Amino acid sequence: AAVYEDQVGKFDWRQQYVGKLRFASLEAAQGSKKLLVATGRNVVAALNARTGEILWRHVDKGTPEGAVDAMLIHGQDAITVSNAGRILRSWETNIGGLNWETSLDTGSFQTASLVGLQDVVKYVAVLKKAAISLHYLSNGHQKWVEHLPESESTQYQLLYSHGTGVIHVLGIVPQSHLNVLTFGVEDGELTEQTKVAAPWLKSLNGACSMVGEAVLVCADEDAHSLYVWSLETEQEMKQIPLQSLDLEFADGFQPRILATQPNLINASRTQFFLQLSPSHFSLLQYKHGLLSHLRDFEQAALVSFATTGEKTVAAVLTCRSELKPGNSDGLHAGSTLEDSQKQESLTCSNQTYNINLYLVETGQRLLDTTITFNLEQNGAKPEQLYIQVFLKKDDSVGYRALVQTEDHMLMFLQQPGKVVWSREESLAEVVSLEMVDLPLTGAQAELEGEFGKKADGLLGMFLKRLSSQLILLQAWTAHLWKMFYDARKPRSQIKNEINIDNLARDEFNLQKMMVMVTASGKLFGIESSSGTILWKQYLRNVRPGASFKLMVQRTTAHFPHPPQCTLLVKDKETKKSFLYVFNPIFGKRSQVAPPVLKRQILQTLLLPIMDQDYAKVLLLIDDEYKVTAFPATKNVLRQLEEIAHSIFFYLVDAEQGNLSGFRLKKDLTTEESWEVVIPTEVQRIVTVKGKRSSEHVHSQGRVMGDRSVLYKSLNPNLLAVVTESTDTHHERTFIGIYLIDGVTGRIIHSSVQKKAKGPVHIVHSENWVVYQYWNTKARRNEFTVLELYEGTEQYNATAFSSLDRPLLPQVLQQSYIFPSAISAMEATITERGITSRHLLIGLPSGAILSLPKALLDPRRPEIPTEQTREENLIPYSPDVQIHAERFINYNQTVSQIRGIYTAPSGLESTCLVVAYGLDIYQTRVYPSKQFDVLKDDYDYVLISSVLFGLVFATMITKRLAQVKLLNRAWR
Amino acid sequence: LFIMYMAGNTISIFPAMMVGMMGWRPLQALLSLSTTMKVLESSSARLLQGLVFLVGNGLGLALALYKCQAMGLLPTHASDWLAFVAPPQRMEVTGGGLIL
Repeated sequence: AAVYEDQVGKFDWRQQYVGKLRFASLEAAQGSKKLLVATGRNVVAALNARTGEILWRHVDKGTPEGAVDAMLIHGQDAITVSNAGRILRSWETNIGGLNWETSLDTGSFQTASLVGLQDVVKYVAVLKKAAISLHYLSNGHQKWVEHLPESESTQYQLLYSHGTGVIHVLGIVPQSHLNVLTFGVEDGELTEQTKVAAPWLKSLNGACSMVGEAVLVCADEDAHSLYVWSLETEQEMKQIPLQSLDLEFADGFQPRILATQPNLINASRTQFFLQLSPSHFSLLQYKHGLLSHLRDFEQAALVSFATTGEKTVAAVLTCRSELKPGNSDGLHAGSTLEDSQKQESLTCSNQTYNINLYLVETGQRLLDTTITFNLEQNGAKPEQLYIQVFLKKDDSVGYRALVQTEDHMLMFLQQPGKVVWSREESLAEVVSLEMVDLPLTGAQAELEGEFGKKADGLLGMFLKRLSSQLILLQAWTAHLWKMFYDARKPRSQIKNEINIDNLARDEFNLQKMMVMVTASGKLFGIESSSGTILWKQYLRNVRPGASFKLMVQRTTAHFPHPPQCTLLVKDKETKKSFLYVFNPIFGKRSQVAPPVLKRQILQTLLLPIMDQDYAKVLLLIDDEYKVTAFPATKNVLRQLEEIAHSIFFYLVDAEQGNLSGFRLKKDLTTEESWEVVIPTEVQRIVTVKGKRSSEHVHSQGRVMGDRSVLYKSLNPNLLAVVTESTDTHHERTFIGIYLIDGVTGRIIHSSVQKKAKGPVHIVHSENWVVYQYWNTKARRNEFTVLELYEGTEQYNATAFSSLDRPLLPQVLQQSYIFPSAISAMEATITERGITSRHLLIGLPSGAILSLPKALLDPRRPEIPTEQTREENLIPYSPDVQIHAERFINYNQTVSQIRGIYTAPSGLESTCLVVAYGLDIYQTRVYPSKQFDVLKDDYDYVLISSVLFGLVFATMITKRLAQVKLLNRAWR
Repeated sequence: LFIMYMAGNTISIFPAMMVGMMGWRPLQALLSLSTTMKVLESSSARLLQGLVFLVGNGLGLALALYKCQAMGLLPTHASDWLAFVAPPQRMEVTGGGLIL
């Protein structure tokens, strides 16, 4: 499985991502080269500001334990708090080294802040629910930790210091009062405790902020006023009605206050933004007890502060044209979701945005500071804005901006609107993936078309054949000419440009289109041999947490009908679903109108029958167990009526712990035919795995040592159901495996693995099931393989019907020890299923192991005999080892692997593999070596020279023999 | 015959060649039956002689076949035809899974 040195990067590629930004920091200097980011995928990374490449990246665990809660930047150090406030780390930002790491006490994390004292920032303060601790920046050691009084009733949420040697901790008892504690930085002594009545306040986060010298400003939506309170000098909150500023909150909008503290030693800026409505911001100033209004931004999408040296500016991102409520144009993927979206989405009609800088002191616009940029049509709104300001040589302000949009795209912009780079970070969260064959070239299509058309006489066919051959010849000469032309150019320039226009299937169908669905609702079309993104499409009305199901309804094989993919999106909260139909090659939305789904869809089924346009029929079952067909033409409905009796659904409700089967009736309703209940008190269903419908099994049985056949039990309707016990005590925990027939509900095999714990990874293919779990008794990872055989006789060799299976299959089982945990598992798949199968196992280390299925074979004998040797069975040994040469991705590790996708190629020996997680890695594997292609290092020169030499030698000897014969005749 | 016995039942180039020769010779002889009969035309008991010739060669052929069988070269087992067994046709279509 390993590659040779010269094969590196030849047919594999990796793309690395960081995920959606949570914190970002741009250095305020013109020549700065990096951006520091901490993301929702638990990554701390530095990006190259010029190219957008990753300079360094640290990936924590993919679980919530690794989540980064806060990131603070001080000079060359980045301080991060992760694992719910449990771990404090300091990173060296230039090379990404870890300066120090300390673990903190438990307690839910609230906020963290740097603390300065007398011109230097020396400490970092961490506020937990019940305690505050101060740590040295230089080594992470704890200076002091103090318990917070009344922490049960008070929610401490804000930290504030401005170099005066004290730290203010602001807590709130909702709808009652504020509690402000003041600690001395040096000794942690609680010097002052003040309580201020604030019965209208529910939470400090967002609604309140610190401006100026320890002045708290809060916005109250109900009273339409701002409250101001100087912590150090005043005893009461001062109410300032908004009418005095001629401002008004939008209805139902929680106002927010955004302030900035550019230097932690000094006080905050006295200017702050007040957000009045989703698109209305106001720049206000509170100075010397006076609140004044500086400037209004009515059509702003985002605002941000940035500071360089002494100058602080406010950046405001606005839509070029007017913001319009609702989806005025663009994508209406789901008509049913539109209504709910209308009030909350304000879209920019032409997707052109401006960024302007304003001086905070006066609210004046700085000249020549406009960046205008375009987002793609149907694109998403900007979501976050980070500004990097610097002073140019002539003392004017220059800046660059980092914009993150709703679809997790990062754009780095430069004046006057040049996109320096952009990154598609939504690809860090691929949820579904399909590989679609590329279309044929014109010439190939012509040839194919010849067979498709009806015969029109011998002569006509002959002429057609001639003409298509002529076209092929033409294409071939063009190809040769191009090769010849390329050969003269230097190697680096030949790199084939792949774009959407010259997409064509290669000889062996090794190049495919990868259609990726990401959690953000953005779809991508990626060319598999190079990883180029050829199209992208954002589905605007997909909210986080939606579930997706991607299906290929029509492949590229039905020229001239365009290929067709259908994506079912189901919202998690509203339970509404919609279908999005598109062309997987060009990413365009299809003309075909999908049915409007009024009820929530429980599951789908792609039938092998096709309509007259060769689109496979998709059945959708809703919560009334009625079925909707798509496409729903007369032809389809007639076909459905004919075969309705053989269509079955199974639905698995993990919450109720029940599995039920439904039979389709002629009027497209269903009736329940079976039900299996797995009591949820004891165990819960974690996964259900059927077989891949595209899978071909070449061999129907296995040849035994005595030359008889052990027939495989290849039940296409078989489901593997995995349950885990609800009791997680290590003595009583167990996992259960049920093999259930999806048509009849018959339990073909069930087993309970005691003292075993999930997460269970399972692969179900052909006649075998492999699953992996954690053995709590022996404290190790184990694999178990189940294989199903019919025996030496086949019950019915011509047709398989689940309804007519009197005999239960024999189940063989064996277990093995695996030295590592795993994060994803998949089996290779090939065109005809002749090639032996391998398991591709993604390890937490990021490596992908290719493990021959022959090693996980329950027929491996403990004592090898003559017969088992004849069968080539490896004697049983309990441990499966990880050999580094079985890693298919050498050093190209894939972080946080969540899935592996395999697809057959046109070559029987070759299987295409895509591993996705935080990174995406694509390669090819040859489970049985490359038996159907010549090797890369095949010596064409030697072979052909020998061949020519021999031919030449034959010719010469023939001539010599003739001469000799002639001479002899003369004698 | 002795050589045949000594050659054993393993498949390698020499035993295979020997078996091939063993099978081929009687076959050749049988094909040239008419010429042999011509030689025997003058004989009185030519029918009997012909029969003996036929049976002898037949025996040789049978022996060669037996040897093939012993060596496992004849496709007499089910496993020899396994590659040509077509997958059974699927009668039902199922689909579904965990509720989305």
